Amino acid sequence: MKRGFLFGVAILFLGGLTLATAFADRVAPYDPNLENRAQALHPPTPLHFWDEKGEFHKRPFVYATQMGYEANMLRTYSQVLKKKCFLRRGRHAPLGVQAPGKLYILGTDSRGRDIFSRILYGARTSLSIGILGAFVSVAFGFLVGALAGYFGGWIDHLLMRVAEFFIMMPALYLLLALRGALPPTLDSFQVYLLIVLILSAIGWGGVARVIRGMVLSLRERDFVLAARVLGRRTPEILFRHILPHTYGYLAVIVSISIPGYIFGESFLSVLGLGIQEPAISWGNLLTESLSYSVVRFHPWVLFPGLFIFLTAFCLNIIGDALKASQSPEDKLKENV
Amino acid sequence: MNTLIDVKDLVLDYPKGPRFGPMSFSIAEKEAFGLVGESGAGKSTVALALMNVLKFKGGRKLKGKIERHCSAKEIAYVPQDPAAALDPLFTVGSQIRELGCSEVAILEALEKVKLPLTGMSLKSYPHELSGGMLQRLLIAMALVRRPKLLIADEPTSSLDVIHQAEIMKLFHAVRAEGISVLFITHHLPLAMDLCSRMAVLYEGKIVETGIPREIYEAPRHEFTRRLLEAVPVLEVA
Repeated sequence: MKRGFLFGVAILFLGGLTLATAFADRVAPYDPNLENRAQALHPPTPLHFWDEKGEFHKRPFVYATQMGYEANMLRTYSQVLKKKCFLRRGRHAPLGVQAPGKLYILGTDSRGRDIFSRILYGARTSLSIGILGAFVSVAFGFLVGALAGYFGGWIDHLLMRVAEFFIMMPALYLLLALRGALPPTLDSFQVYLLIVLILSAIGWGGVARVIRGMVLSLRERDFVLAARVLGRRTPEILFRHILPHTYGYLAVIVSISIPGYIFGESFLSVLGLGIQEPAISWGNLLTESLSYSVVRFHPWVLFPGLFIFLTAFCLNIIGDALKASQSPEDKLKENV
Repeated sequence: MNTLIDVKDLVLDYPKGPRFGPMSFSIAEKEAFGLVGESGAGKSTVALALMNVLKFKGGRKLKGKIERHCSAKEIAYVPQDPAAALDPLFTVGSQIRELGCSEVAILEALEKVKLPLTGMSLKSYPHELSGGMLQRLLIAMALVRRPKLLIADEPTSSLDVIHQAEIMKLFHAVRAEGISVLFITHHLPLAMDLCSRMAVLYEGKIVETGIPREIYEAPRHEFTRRLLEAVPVLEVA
């Protein structure tokens, strides 16, 4: 029951995020690259129902804000109480407010760009890198593991030593070394593909080892012997009777490893080695928060991190649920 | 009678460990040949070698000659553990169809083993059928290809006595149809019940060959005598 509830919440969150991301141009309140320097590092805009006189309004509103400086030369934004700007449908987005108010749901960054809009656009890069990276590495690990497990002998030996090399290397250094070994002047799409490749190169070893182990034990099972007695050829046996038994594991490992790839992209981008401006990703949104003083006084620049965390969390819940659905007890229950 | 399989001086060598053979025997057409021996005597290995699916790993070597006078497709196999011999991921029906036979032939074979699997139960998964049903199903799957030789490796050892008796009846019927049977078992009475000739395997060697009645009346080897003595006689207190 509890697992089912969490699973539902996770699916809802990820589904909503994916939809909002796919239709970011219709959902995001602002253009992600629109700079509003007069409202840099603006805190999230609060919505009001009661005005300064204590009067209730059915339609929520925001106050227009005015920038000022306090004693330490930090920007402050004060609400101009006379200027009520009611919520309304935006020109492109479902949400907007009357001019001159601004609806910064999660605040703005140091160049006055709306963080919420940027998170939605950045999700396109980050989510797709995560999914693509997980698929590429799992597919590659699956292929290597299946070959090693089924053929055994020197093929197994060779492939597994290579896999172990990649498992053994500390991922962080390998990531940096691989990125360092590749040219720094690439356009953003090339960098995107490069990151997918680098992340996959790090991740396939573990999958290969597990799949190899599964195939190794599966090929000794009686139904594989039966298929051999029937005169089935190797690829037929492999694809029809051995590999289908590993698909459940693959589904689990893909959903559990996507966050790792999102983290990897963020890590590279935060260090300036990944996705570069003007392209947007959750990682390079976080470059903003590398400075302590910014985080100290403008904590809303950390919101992209919250999205990374929530996405990872939801994917793990889904992975757990998938894993549980693979266990024999659940299968038995289904069949009773 | 024509010989189906002729095994001459079959030796299986392990670099470290036991050595099987040399053993020689032959199976004729329309004959039931029993291979009786204790666990680890090499019975299953012989079956795998006959079907040419023995794996050569860890320096395992096969010497001697196996002459097959029938094609590999004409040899069918009924394994020891029916539940393990079917892929748990696929329905029973899809695994029968994988044999590449016509629906008519499948239904006919199912009829023969008295397993009326209609549309609904063909959609069931192996774990949903009982051991006895599965073993019947596997015999049907073996028969559907109209084999000349049926190799049965301990086909009843995972069944209770009632089901065992039913399965043995099926093997008698198979024999009556003119299909040769190589019946591998550790249970001497079963082989004596079904087979026209049998061999007793002990520590990788054939210690005795003959027709069951002769072996029953005058066992030549100590191991055969022990096997016979071990057969329980029903004594009611």
